Amino acid sequence: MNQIQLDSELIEQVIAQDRKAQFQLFELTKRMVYSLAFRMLDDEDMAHDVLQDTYVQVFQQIRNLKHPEALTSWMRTIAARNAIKKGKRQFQFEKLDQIQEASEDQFEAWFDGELLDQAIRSLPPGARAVFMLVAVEGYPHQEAAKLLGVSESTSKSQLNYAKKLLKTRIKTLLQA
Amino acid sequence: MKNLPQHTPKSTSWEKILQQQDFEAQLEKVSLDLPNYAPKANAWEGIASQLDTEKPIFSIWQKLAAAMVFLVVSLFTWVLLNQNTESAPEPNLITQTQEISIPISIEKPISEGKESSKENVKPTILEKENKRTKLNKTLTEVETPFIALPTIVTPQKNIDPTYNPKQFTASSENKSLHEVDISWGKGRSKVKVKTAFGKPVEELQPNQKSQMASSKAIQIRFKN
Repeated sequence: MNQIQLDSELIEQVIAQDRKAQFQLFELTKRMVYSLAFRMLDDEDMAHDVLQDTYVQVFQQIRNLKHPEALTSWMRTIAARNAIKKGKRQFQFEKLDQIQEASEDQFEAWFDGELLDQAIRSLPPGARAVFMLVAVEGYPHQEAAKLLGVSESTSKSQLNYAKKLLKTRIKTLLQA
Repeated sequence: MKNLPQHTPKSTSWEKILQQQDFEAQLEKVSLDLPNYAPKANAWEGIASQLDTEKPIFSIWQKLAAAMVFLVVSLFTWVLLNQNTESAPEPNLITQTQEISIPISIEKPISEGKESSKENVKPTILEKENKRTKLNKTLTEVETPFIALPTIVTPQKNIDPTYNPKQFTASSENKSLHEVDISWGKGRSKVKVKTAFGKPVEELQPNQKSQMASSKAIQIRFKN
């Protein structure tokens, strides 16, 4: 999660609804917002819709932002909420009792961000959403569960399931 | 560099490297460094056009305040309108004329001056009604029936011409139990009313008493 430092003057201009400043903010943060949406939804068109909705919402509600220094994290929250809203239908949480557990062998390999990203995108939608919210965005299970409309225990079990799947996917990707 | 001494690392360093190779630890580290994707080039155009078209979002307080202002203004105007209608009724001045639709057209006398020009204007609204009233015009005058009260015949009584209701005449028929002594002397009350109510039966039979008195009477003789 790359933190983007924004100039306070730019934020003030964005609050004043200056279109140039808005564009500048968009240029600085568009990758962050789009990547989050795309990784959660694994769909370009839906991610673009989320991007558009997020920026419109940000520019309209920025006046109500109490702490302008927390603008980027506020934008990420809006993007995550919009992505959940957009992909609500595809987020189906599998029953984990029926799924065969992967072998608990030791992981002896190195992987980078590119490889992890591929593995994340191959996850089932429900597990991917939980992993993105808890492991990548840093939400506590309680809040992630609330956002997704599931119980806290479901969120925890889905995260464990996602991690096990990632382990095996990364291994197969490394072997390929 | 060849002359520099070599140092040996700690014995635990390999274990530490292996620990870092742990999946959970790698996951935690790498998840913060995920690659970024760029959106389409025309993404901003869509946002800008949506910003131009979409109405600004008002906060709840702004909406509530606007609703309250609207309510107060509408209430105020309603009260004002009601007051105007109640307090200032239209005065019926003599100089004002009201157009009254009369079903029967009345022939008005032709008057001179300004009024004649007004009256000569034919009314256009009552065209339909005039058709009806034309029929009414032909009606002839009907004689009103004479209403009279019926005369009541009362039976006539023969009244005595000498009868005066104010004059009381004592007769055997008018016999009363009341006795009235009237005296015109000086002194006390001049009128004494005596009634026979409550008197013993004896008093009511004067003939018998007088007979008894005459038999027991004491005769006194005065000598000169």
